[in-house]
Amino acid sequence: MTATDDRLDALDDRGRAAARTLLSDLARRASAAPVAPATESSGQPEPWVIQLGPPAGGRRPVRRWWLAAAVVTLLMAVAGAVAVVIADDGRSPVSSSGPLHYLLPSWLPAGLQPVRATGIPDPASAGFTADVAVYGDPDRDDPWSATLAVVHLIAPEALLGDAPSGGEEVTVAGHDARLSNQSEGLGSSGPTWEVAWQVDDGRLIVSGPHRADVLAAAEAATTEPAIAGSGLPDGYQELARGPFTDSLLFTSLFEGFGGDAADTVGDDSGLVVTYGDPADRDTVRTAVVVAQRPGPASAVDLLRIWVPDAEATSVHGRPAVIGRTRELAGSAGENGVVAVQWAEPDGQLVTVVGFGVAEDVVLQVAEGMRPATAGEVAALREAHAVPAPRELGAVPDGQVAVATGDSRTGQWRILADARRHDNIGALTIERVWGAIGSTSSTTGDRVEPPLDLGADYSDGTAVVWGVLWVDAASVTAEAPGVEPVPLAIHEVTGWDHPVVAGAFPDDHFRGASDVVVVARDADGREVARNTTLLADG
Amino acid sequence: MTVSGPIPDSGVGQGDVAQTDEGGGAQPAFDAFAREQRRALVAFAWTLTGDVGVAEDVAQDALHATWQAWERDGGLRHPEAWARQVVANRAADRVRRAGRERRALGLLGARPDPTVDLPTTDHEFWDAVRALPDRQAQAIALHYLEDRPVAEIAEILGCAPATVKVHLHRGRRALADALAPAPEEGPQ
Repeated sequence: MTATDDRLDALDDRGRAAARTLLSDLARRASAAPVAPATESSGQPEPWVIQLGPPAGGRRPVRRWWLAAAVVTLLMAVAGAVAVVIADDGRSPVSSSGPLHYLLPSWLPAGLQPVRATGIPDPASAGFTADVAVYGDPDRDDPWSATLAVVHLIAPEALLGDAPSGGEEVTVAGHDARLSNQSEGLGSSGPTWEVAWQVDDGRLIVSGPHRADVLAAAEAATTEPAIAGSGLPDGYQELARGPFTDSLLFTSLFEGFGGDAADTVGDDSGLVVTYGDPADRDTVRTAVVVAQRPGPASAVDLLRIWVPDAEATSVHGRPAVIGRTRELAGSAGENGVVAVQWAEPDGQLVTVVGFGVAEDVVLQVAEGMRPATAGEVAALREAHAVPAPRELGAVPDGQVAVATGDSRTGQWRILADARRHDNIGALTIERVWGAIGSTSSTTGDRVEPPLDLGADYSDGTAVVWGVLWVDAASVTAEAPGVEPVPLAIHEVTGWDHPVVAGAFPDDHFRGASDVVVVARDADGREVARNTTLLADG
Repeated sequence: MTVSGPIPDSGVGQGDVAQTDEGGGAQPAFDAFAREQRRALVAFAWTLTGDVGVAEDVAQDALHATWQAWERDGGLRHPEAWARQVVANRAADRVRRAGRERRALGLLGARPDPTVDLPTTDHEFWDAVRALPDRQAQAIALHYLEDRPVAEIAEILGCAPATVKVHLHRGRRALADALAPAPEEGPQ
C-alpha cells in the first residue's frame, strides 16, 4: 500500500465520521425545539411535514438576500443626501471630465419598451467613496480564479459603522486588524480570507483565497488603493481598478433599480433605463436594463466581482465582459440574469443587463446601442421618471388570496392553497415592485411555534405573514417606545388554523430592539409570542 | 418559481418510485416522503453552504419544488434524486448570492450574523469539501454523507457515472492534500 492510499483511506474514515457527527448534530438541533408559551396546550399543532428545527442560538437566520436590499437602501439614502446637496448649492451634481454621450438601443426584443428612466446616484457627493483594485496572474487560464483585492473605503463614521470585529486579531503594518474566513471572495467563487483595518479616513480591506498571501498583501497595501509588488505572489499584476461603489449598482440593477432617490439627481450623474413589457403582470418578468455612467476602462472587469461566471467578449470593438447568474430567479425566471459591460471611448461605462433574456439577445442589444439624439434622453426621463405601479396577475388555480396590499410601487398578496393546509407550500407570498422586482416564497420551517411567521422586505414595505396555531383575538408587532402594528387574522376556507398578515413601512421599527409579535386572547391576555422574526427591528 | 422537468428514468433507487395514491391523492404520499427525507436534505444542503439557516431554506425550497413536480406529474419516479438535484443547484446559487451580499454588507460594517454552530461536526473537513469545485463538492458530499454509489450520484448530478468517478477521484485527492498534506520528500 502506498502513502497516497493510506491518506485516502484515512480521508474516507474521516469523511464517514464527519457525516455521522453532522447528522447527529442536526438531529440534536431538531429535538431542541423551543417550548411554546405556557398558554399553549390544546392548541398545540400537529407536526408539520416540513418541520425544520430552530437555530440553536435561538435566532432565526434571515433570508440573506434581503440584507443586500438593505445595502441598496443605504446607498439610496446616500444618494438622497447627494440630491439635497445639489439642490442646496446648485453645483453640478457629479464631477465628470466632460458631458456623457448617452447611448440608446436601436433594437430590443419584441414587446419591450421603456418603463423607467432615471439618473444614478453618486455617493461620492455625500462623502462616501470606495475604490477597489484586483490583482491576479494574467498568464493563468483564468486570471480571476485566485485574485487578491484591496478596497479602500472613505465614509462618514456613521456609515462605516464600528471598527472591524470578529475573526482573528492580527497586526498589519502596525495597525490592529481583523482576519476572517469568508465562504466567497471578491471576484472568485471559493472561500476567501479577508483582513480589514481602520485607516485615517476610513477602512482598508484586503481579500484573497490564501491566508498567507492575504497577510503578505495587506502588509504592502496602500490607500491608493494598491498592493505593492513586494506583497504580491510571483506573476501577479493589476487586473482591474475602479469605483467599488459602482459595483453596488449591480445589486440595485438586479433588484430592478427601484430607488426613488435617483429621480432627483441630474442627468450628468448617469442614466438607467429599464425596458419591459408594461402589460406583464407576472412575477417572472423579461426585461433589459441599460446603465451608463462615467467610469474608466480599467473598471470593465469589475463586473466579475458581482458575476463571477464571466468571460471576455467585445462590444463596439471594445473589450467587454459578459457574465451570467441565476440570482433572483423569481424575477428573471429560469433564464436568469445576463450582464455585459464595456467602456466607450469618451469615458462612459455601459452595462446592459438582461432578465430572462438569452445571452445572444443581450449582446445584440449591446451591439445595437447608438448615440442618443438631442433631447432624446431628456424626453425619455420626463416620460418615464416614475414607473407605472406594478400589479399582480390573476390568482393561480386552486389558491385563494388571503390578504393583499400595496407597497410604494407595487403590490403584495398572501396566497393559500386550500388543498394543503398546515403544510409546505400551503402559504405563498407574491410581490411585484419597481420596474422588474418580484418575490415569491413559501412558509414551512416553523421555527417558533405557535406564531410561526415569515417577514418579507421589499419596496420599502415589510410584510409579516404566517399561520396562527393558537386561539387568539389579536396579533400585533410591537417594541418598547414604538407604535404597535396590528396584524389581521384571516380565516381560510377548509383550513383548521387562520392566517396572520400585515404590512408596515420597513423602517417602522428601525433602531428598536426586542421587537416581538404577540398574540392575545379576547381578554387581552398573551397567548403566544414570536421573539425572533423582527428581533433586530 | 418553477423547476425544470423531472429527472429522466434511470437506475437510481428503483425502490423509490412514488406515485399518487389511487384513492388518497398525492399529499399523504408526499408527506411521508418529505418527513423521511427532510433531515438528509438539510444535511446535504449544509455540506454545500455551511449555514444551517440557508440549508434549511434550501431543503425547504427543494421539497416545495419536489411537491410541485409530484403534484403536476402525478408522482415522480425518483423523488430522492429529484430533491437532491434541486438542493445541489439551489445551494450553489445561494452560496454565490451570499458571497456577493456578504461583500457589500462587510464593506458597510454590517456583517450578517455568524452561522449557527454544530458542536460536534468536523467543520474543518466540510470546509475543505466546500472549497472544492461545485460538482466535486456535491459528489463528495453525497458519497460520504449518504454513502451513495456512483450510479446514484450520477443520476442526481445529471452526468455520466464516469464523470462522477473523476469528480470523486479528484475531490478525494484534493481533500487529502488539504487535510493531510503529504510530507515533503527529504534529501535522497
